[in-house]
Amino acid sequence: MKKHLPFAFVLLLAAAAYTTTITGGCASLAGPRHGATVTVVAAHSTLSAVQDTELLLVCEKPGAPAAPLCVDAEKHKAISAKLATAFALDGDLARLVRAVPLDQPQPPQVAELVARIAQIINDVLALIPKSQQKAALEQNLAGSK
Amino acid sequence: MLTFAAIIQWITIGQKVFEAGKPAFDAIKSVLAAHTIEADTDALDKVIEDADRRKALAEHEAGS
Repeated sequence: MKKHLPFAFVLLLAAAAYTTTITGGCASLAGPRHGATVTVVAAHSTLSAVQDTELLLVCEKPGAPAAPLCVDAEKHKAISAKLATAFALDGDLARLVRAVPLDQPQPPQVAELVARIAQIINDVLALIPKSQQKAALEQNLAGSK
Repeated sequence: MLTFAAIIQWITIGQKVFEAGKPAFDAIKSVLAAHTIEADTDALDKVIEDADRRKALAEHEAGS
């Protein structure tokens, strides 16, 4: 599990850093909400890519690798339950950011929700067996930073 | 040493994963490029809608 911690952590940390620093110029044009919007979209995109890829890896699905590299039914259910929680938090995060007035700073709950989503991404990645597809997913996510 | 078949397999797998994630990453790029309040609101609405859809899919898969 530890092996995956830096990956998603760095990914979401990069999104948070982007929000507070690089988009400073954007914020002056579109308001403080712009940086938070980028973070929301980054978190949602990461979760979506994880879900789409995991669905390709379920054992006996066309194109899935053979056992033990595929995701068996038990793990698939466990991963899906975690992803359901993550997407619920993801929706809450987007609703929260949307509800804040444009000229107001983002509430601390934004960072809390992002941290909870990052933890679930770590947990899900830890459940997916090593495979070429998983390596490609990690490379793809790292390349999107 | 990588055989030709292994290289082709890697390219195919990489392409599938890339295609799976591409719409999501394109969404980030469009938000970054727009820099407008309307584009941000539109992006948040799309995230809310897609998060609800994906949550339902995950719940279905968790129960299947």
